[in-house]
Amino acid sequence: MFHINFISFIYVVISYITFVVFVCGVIYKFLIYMKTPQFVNIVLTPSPTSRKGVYCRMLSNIIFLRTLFKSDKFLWLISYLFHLSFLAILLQHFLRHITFDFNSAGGNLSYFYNILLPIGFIIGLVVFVTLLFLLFRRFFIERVKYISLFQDHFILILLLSIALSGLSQVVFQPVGELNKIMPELDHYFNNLITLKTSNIPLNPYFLLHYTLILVLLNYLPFSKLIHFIGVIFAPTLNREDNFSLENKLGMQDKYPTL
Amino acid sequence: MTERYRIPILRDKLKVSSILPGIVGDLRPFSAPEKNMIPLGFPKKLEEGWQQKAFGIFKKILDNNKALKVFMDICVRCGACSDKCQFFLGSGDIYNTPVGRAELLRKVYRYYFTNLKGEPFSENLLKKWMSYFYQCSECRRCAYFCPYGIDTAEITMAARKIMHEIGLGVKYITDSINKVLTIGNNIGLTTKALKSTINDLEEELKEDTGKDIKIPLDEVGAEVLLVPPSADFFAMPHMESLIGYAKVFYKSGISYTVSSYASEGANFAMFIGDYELTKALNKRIWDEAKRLKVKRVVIGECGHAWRAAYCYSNAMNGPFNFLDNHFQQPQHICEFTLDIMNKGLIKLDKSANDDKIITYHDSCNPARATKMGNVVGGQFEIPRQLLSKVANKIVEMDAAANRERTFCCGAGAGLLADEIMQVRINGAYPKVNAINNVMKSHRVNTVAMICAICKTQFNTILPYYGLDRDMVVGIHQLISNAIVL
Repeated sequence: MFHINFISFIYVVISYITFVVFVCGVIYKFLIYMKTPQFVNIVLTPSPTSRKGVYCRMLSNIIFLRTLFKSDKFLWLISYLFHLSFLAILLQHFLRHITFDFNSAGGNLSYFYNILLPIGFIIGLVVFVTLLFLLFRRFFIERVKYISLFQDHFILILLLSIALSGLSQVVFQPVGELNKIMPELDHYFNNLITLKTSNIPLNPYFLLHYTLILVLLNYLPFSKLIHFIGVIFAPTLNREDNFSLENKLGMQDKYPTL
Repeated sequence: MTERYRIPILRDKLKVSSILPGIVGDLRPFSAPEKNMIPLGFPKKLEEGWQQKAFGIFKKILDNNKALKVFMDICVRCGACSDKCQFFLGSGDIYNTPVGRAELLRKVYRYYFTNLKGEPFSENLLKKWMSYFYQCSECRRCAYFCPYGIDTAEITMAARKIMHEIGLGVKYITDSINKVLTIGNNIGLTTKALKSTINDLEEELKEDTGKDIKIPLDEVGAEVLLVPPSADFFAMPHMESLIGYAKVFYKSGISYTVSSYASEGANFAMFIGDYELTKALNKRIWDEAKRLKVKRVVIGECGHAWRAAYCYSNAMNGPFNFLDNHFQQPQHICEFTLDIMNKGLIKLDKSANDDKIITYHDSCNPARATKMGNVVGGQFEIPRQLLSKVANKIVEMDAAANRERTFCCGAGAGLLADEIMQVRINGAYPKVNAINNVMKSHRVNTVAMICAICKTQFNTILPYYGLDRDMVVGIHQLISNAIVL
């Protein structure tokens, strides 16, 4: 590990720590939510009465944000666009930097690079703009302004900075510069996931982008962003409206003295 | 009397006039006196070291209640719920938005259980809790609109539970629980008083109809145990519905009984999130069903009683193998009546209700926490089917204020106390607004409902808004009018 420079060494170490914190944090939360008992059925009706129905309701809620659509159409549009584009940009990053070993696949680096870069740029713009809307909401809709806390602004500003630093790699520096760091970058990430190490490209835009992402991943399991795990455990949505089930589970005997 | 309260203005479209944090922060219910707290196992007042105790209770609830544990973490404060609560719409106080209310508990959670910035327990905070957690009727309208299904009812219940465990009780709620435990119902009607009330009713019925319509009390071996809310025995217009039940049973030929021991369907312990007391109150119904050797249990027109019976019975006191398994246990009186009507056992004269233009108010607990007749959406359809069988002129309210989106009457979950009349007026505002709109557009003059608390609340509140209190009727009151004996 000492064939790399000092800055790269720091980043590699922090990257691995971040990975452990993120994965363990999410798994820990997952297990806590799973293990905490729910004695009374508090399902929100009208509700499906079968397990299958519950899965459908849950999936439609997660895939289409159905409940949010019912309550706030504008917010639904913005957050749906944000979540979709965020997912797409994640996918774009994985395709671009990690999963593809261009040389052994016999592919043409510049070909993929040329397609994925503009796609990523456009998606990144959507992420940026929707985040801006979400932030403006917190300042300009009076009741939302009142309920917003520091961490709500923090997370939006963090995401905005990530998007901005990512986009500026394309906007603020010549294409030649980008082409130069790309092989180095792919090398770094591909080595990182195969537990080998190599030097990180010392490009300021990229380092900012990468550092902020590490901050985000460390913060995520302990923040409200854990909602992506929590939502599947909400007892108002994840149980069926079938009260004979309690008898089968023998809830009466496990009942706590609270 | 009216001058003392701030009455929101009724409009065509709901609008929050201004947002002012803390504007209704001084509205609080009366604290429970010592004699109410001690029998329930709560400390009589706030004692030294209460912060530690409150933390312990909070932790215990978090460890045993998945809902609370998840809801404390996952709110993103998107604001989707923030214009949905009737208490916010009626008051404009930001702490009355579901997210603002939950934040009062959530910041304590963050302080003790996470690394994020929060706030420890303090007397100042308790004052806010005492105010705002008693401006929530646990109606779950926010849960319906929350993308994550965060149910403020669970959060309110947890906060109330913590407060009761450290000695901060509410008079009205602890009064009711004590009376159910010692006498058998919220009101404190003794067996003797119950008997004489029922005798009076039977005589009245005999005079009016010429028929021997009985309301049997504590009769062993009847087919059905009927558990109405105790208001049905003495309050108006609730009693008219009791007469309705009696007439339905009379025509159906099915033997039934009410019980003096379980003369109350309401379960106020549910409102303060106390599992043990909720279970104890619920258990009375099933003990009595065993003792009276009935085959079925039917719950009367009461919103949260139906929730407590429907949602909690099986988990708390089931299974009910000693009852007739051909029927759902427990069953709602509306389902029971519809069944009798569908069998053709009752002749109905719709024209008896022709003087009324009726709209139906969905009560929050049946609408969003239960179903009826084992059909999804039965809680909406069964009462409406009953209405259409007994009346000709029925008008639907705005769908954004009814059915699964229904606004609560504003007095559920232990808020039906006179000292917090302003809270009740605020909470009733969106629903009264919806009622007022159908009154203007369709000349509606009757609001039918199936909840004892809704009935009492609207009966009291409608005059403040300049509407007629006699508009309020129970569904079985309309059935009672239309039944041909």
